[in-house]
Amino acid sequence: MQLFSCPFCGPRDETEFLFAAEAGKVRPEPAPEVSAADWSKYLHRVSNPRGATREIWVHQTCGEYFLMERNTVSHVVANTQPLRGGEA
Amino acid sequence: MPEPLPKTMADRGTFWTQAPDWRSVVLQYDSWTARPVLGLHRLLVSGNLDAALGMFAPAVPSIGLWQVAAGSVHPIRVGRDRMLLTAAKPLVATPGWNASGFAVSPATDAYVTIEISGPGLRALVSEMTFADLEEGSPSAATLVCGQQALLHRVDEQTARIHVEAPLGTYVWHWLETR
Repeated sequence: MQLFSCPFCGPRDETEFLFAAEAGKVRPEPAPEVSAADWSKYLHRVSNPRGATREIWVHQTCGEYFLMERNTVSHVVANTQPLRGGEA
Repeated sequence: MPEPLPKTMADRGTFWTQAPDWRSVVLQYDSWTARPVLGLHRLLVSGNLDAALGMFAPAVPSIGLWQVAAGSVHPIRVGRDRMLLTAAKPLVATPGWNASGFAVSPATDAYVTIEISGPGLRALVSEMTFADLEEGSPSAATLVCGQQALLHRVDEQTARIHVEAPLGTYVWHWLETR
């Protein structure tokens, strides 16, 4: 069992959380000019790095979406922060 | 002439656990007792919670995980900008957007509230949730029996679990078969 820290609720069991998206992904615009390949890349391709990564997670029970910086090898969570007022 | 469907095919409801009669059910064990809290009025509030608290429960702080609620209106914190208000008496509010910056949704029938009390409460709840109750949390929302719920107390040995109404049967059955 691992604990993640929701920026609002504090430490909670990992079962309360869901991965939402890679951080830093920008929706391609304008939509009518986006090619099928670029749209597919945005929707389905993830970098899935080995090591340090920045991701958007959601704490299901309180509904908070937040940025989590963690290591995919060691599973160490370096930081979590709310998305409000910041860029992810 | 085709054969009629077996009864279980015609009525899928027979596959599901029968809902308890909330008006009369009580569970009585050596160290704890569980019962549904009947007649509780509920409002779901989203947005500017300080403004909403000023209207519905002045000077009452919102209730977080495992915190003891006091007063006649319990503002149970769900998330950063959402709370569930519960009260024994009807809460007077106009549904929809309020000019003070919050939205109100009537939720009396949306939840089932189960109250558990007794000296065995703490041990029982530790089986029901992974949350560290001593750590404290501004939000009362957590997983109880694997389901999303709001968990707080009304005194040192009495806890309330608020779950969405369709999940009430499952949580009650969990308690029955524990």
